Amino acid sequence: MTAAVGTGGVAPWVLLALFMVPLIGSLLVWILPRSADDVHAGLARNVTIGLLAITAALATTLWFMVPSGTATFDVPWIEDFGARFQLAATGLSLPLVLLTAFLMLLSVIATDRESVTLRAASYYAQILLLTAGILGIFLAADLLVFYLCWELMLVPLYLLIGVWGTGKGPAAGTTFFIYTMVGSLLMLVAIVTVASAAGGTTFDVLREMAANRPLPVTTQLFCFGAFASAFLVKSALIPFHTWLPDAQSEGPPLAAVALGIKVGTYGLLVIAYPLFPTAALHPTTRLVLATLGVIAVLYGSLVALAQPDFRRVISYASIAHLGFVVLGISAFTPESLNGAMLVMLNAGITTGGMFLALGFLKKRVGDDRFHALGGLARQMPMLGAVVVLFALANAGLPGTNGFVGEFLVLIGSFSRFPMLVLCATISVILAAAYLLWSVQRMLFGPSAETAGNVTDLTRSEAAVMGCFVVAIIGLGLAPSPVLNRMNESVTSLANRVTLSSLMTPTAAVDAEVQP
Amino acid sequence: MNGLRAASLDLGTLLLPEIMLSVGAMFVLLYGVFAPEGVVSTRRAHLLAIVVTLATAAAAAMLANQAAPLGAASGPLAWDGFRWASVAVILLGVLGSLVMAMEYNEGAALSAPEPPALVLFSATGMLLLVGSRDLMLIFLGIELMSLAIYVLTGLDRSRAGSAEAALKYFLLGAFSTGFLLYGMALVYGATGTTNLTQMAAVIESRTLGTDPLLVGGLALLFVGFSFKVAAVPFHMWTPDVYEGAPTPYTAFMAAGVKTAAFAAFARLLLDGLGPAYASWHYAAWVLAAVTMVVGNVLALAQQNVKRMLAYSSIAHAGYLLVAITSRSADGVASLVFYSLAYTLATIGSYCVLSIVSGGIEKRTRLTDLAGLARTRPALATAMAVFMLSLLGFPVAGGMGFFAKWYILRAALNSPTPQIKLAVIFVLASVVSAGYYLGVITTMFMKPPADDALPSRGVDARLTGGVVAVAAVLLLFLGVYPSPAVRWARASTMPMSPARAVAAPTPMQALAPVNSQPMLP
Repeated sequence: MTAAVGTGGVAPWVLLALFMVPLIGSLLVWILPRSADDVHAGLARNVTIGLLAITAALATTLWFMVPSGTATFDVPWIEDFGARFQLAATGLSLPLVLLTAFLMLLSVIATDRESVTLRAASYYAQILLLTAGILGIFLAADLLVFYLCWELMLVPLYLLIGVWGTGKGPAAGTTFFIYTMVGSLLMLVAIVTVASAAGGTTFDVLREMAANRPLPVTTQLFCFGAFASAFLVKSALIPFHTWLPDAQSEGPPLAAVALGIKVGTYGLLVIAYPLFPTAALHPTTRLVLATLGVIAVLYGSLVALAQPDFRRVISYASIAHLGFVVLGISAFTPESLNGAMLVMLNAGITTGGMFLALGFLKKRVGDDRFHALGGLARQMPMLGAVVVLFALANAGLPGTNGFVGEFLVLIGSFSRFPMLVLCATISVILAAAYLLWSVQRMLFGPSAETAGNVTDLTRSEAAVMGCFVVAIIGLGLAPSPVLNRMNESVTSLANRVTLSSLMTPTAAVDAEVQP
Repeated sequence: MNGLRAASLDLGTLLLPEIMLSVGAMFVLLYGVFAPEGVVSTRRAHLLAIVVTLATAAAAAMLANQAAPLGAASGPLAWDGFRWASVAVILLGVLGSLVMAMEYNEGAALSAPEPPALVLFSATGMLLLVGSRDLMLIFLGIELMSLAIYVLTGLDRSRAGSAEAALKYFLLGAFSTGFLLYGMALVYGATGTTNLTQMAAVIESRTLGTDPLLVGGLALLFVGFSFKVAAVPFHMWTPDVYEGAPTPYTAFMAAGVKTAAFAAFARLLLDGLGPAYASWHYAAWVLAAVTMVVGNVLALAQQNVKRMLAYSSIAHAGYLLVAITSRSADGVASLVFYSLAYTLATIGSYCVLSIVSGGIEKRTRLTDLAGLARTRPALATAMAVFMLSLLGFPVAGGMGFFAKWYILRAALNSPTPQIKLAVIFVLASVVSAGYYLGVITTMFMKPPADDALPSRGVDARLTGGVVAVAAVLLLFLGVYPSPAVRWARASTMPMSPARAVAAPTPMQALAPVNSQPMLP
């Protein structure tokens, strides 16, 4: 390996370590001595927490190390396909990297030792592999690396949901796997097409192609469609959403948290838009995406009203959040894009916190459907308080993190899609309705007889919840550090995409590219 | 005939691997005559065959680095990267099946020293097939390969299924040979030569691309080869034969026959009949599409893993046909690359089956794999890798992903881009996720049956070794495929240009036909 592995001093090595620590760690944990007793399960859990803590520390280091601009790690990989092993941190990926690292760390701390008795080492290895996959998606600066990580996160999630989920886990896991694979494979066709046209798969080469010799419009539309199908299936946009509630409620809480990290919309904004600017900013594409987004917002909110348990309510709420993200991206104004990025980040935090809190509850009461619950706030004041806070953040109450992002999306998109935005605004009322109603049925009112003597949060559970509370209120009151960091990258991405879409291939260029 | 005489000068060098294998096979047979009956002799005969295979592989590796001998350029035997790469893949499959057979045959009480000799004879046919550039040699290779396999299929006389499979395979195989032979005769009639190089030149110069005699011959050749590679609608025999044959020989068939037949098919279509591309392109396209879709859809319904893998191998024939249809150097390279990935995953998965079933053929149902992750975690993980590799899943499936990537690349970059075929290809792959994942779900998420894993499971150390090697190779090449990609790229073969449908322009008529030098 030569000295020239990237830009930014030690930052490249931090980047590499960020990806490699969980990846190699998963192998390490997997080959830990196995036995049925608790000692080894505890060992696997502690090692995993240690590794994830290192990952989170590395992510934090990177955040402060790369105050502006980007850092890249770059070594040759498969010359014949023009692929290089390239990782990069930008203002768009850093917040999400930080989110992922901390969410995974907190989820493992929240998973207590006793709850995983079945093949514990393997369970924790899957978690580390999943972390590596998600981090890889955000860090990748090469389309092939991106694709590998994109698929890499599928297997551990499938196993987590299937093996360590409820009785319906295997079915939910398989549905999730096949659903997402349809989209991914279509994307693969598009990737091969683009890579052949550009002569490589690194983002630099692709960017150069998008800027200087854009693909013909029909090819762009086909490829954008293929990419969008992969990204929108993975982020569960209506009508590709049916797998999500099952996967989130049948799997362990941790899988639900990981599914709440919006890798799909990140890919849409950071990969599909710059690659196919003309297709992405095509009026029809924008209208279709914006309409789908608003439908997702409304449909998700309405269906959330009719769910039998809180986890499914939150699943549908996250579908509604996703609608906001897609609306913001398709409007493509600086405010709406910043808003979309913030919603991605915040939805990850609030949804993640909520799923962990509901996981704590589920562990205590067994049956966590609404009709079996009631009056829990009396017995569990701490849990009750955080659930109320998460619900309010989910509903986008001002002062919580949920407010800023949705507000930016709505004002940013209004100029372009006034009617659609007006429709989307209704969802704010709906969100308040389904969340408050759920909270009321679960926490207040008469106690259900099944919930006999449940105990409140333990100290470590309370600590985990505390982190989420701090993040929610902190980002709600002072979003500017994150927003500033994103803003620069968002603006430059928006400019680049707009510029490339303007220098659209004429018929002459069309003929030249595809004789 | 001119080519034959010229090549006869160096026939010994040209045919060295084939000679080594067949002489080795005779030694194994002789050993069988003098050795006492029993398990020990069976084991020794297998070991002898393994040594012969290794020696042949070493010889082939040496030859691959040498310059082509006199007469190789246009003679009946090819001397190019494609031949040596195919030989390597085939010998890999032979090695895996021999090791598997050694331990399986002890368990299944098929104790006899002759089967390894039959495997070697069949392998001789395969090697001949991938090296031949003459219709007559192709026919010879196919027959040599098939006859030995018919016997291997029916080796387990105690089982009706095995005998049924052998009879079915033999009758249908003989029938398809008829098509093949008739097709060859018609092509010979149209072009007046059996040598592929001369054939391409004749088709090119006389613009025979749409000649009815040639097209008729092509159609019959397609039928014959489709049968051998198990392409729909000539696949009917595959599930029964794969299920009935003893597991190691199923693996041998699935890996070896497919690689060899595809190599010959590719050489025939791309070299000899390349100028008639427009006449066979559509047929190959439809064959590929139908084979991928039907193979994958039928595999979904299977309850027996061997049968499921049989349908999956049909689907893979469809994928390989995509590589041929794209008709480019990339396509040939992707064919070789895919064959390697497919051979590793196939041999590996049949090894796992052989261990799990412990030589009892009834125990190859999907339910017999239930809970394998709990009883044999390493074996289950390896099986998961093989399944994901066949599915073409990245990282966890290893090299399988890059194999699919390579074929997609070849299809989309082909002189006539195959976008529709590429989309069918990936959608068919999605269907295949249904049954490959089914295996993983069963292994990892279902409780083991009470009588799971009979006692013999632990003895199959060497088979387990094959599983480990295959899994590690697949995973390594899935993260760092460059060595395999370079190797596949080097395995080129001469391809004749395709433009004989329309009357050649004066410029084309002047251009030298098929005169590019052979790569060493």
